[in-house]
Amino acid sequence: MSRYRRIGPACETAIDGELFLVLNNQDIVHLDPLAAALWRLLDEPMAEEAILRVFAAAFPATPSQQLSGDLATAIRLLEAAGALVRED
Amino acid sequence: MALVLRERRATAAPQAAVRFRGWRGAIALAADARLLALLARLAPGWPSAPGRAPVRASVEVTRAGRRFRIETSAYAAPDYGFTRYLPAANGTLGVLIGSYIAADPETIGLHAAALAFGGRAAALLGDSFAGKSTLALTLAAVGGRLLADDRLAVRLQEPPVVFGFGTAAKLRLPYPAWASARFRAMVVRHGACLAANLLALDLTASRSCGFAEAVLLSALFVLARDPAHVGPPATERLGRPEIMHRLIQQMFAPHLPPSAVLAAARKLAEAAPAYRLRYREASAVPALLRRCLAEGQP
Repeated sequence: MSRYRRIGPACETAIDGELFLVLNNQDIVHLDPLAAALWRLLDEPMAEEAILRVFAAAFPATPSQQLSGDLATAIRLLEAAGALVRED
Repeated sequence: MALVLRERRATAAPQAAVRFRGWRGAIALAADARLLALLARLAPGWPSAPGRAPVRASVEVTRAGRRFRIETSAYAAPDYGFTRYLPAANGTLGVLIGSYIAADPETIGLHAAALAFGGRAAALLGDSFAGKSTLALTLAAVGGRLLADDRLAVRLQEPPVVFGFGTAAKLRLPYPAWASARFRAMVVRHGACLAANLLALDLTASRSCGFAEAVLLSALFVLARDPAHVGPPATERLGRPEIMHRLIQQMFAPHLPPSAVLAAARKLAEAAPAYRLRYREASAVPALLRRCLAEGQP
């Protein structure tokens, strides 16, 4: 099962529910509220299914297909930014 | 028969040197005369440094083959790869401004235009070709004082102030369809040809703020010119994360690490209200902007 973990520490600035990260003292990444929540959740490495369960409990009114799609997008953004890594 | 190839040495035009006023010192520039002449058109209001001012930064423009290399002692400037004079002169102006800004940790640069009305300034942000210069000139034609049409400095004091560098405003021809007689008269009076269909307007004598003249920053506007927009210009208040995102994209602060860039963007987002400005024609914007600066909101 795939797990995700953060790659190293990042300098964080939170503002109005959104988050800006400075990665490797080099890149600035802007996270929307969903990606910010995901980043915070991954303070400890977590399996993909466990992530989905946490978000499903937090947003019970959101259809599961939409939630998993939004989460996949957020994960891709964080991976592309070099903030997260997947461990198979 | 043996063919002997001789290494061809790059022919370099002789270098000339000038000293520009910098932050508590001078910025020395060495470049060839043609580039310096173009630079004088691009920054007609940037004064020379006083004779005894210490040199704070040195900028040098050299050529290797067709490529210009612009270097400064103030920071590691990237290799822009310019091969033509006008982009190289414009790039040199950018490096001069960067060298000025880099001497002051409380100052950042923004790719933005700015106009002052009655001692308060509005900064106009937008991507390339968003219409910053045209809107800035439209505002100058109706009584605003131009601070910058593309490169603006912000000093992050409380409250923040903005200033420009006595640079010329650029205008691409033909005139926009809505250009008023006043607008055209200003262009004819102050414009000089930079390249085909491109003019530099030296407004320093009458319609612009002086070099490094600080003006209180009242509001930030992100330009959204839209040919399909109907009705008068409209504003929409931007949230702080959105304007921070935009400021980070358009900030020029080679002297600051990313964490300081982030802190500067936050400080600015918290200090000045920001709006998205939707409009069809720049000629319709001045009334809204003047009202905003006078009353504190659109």
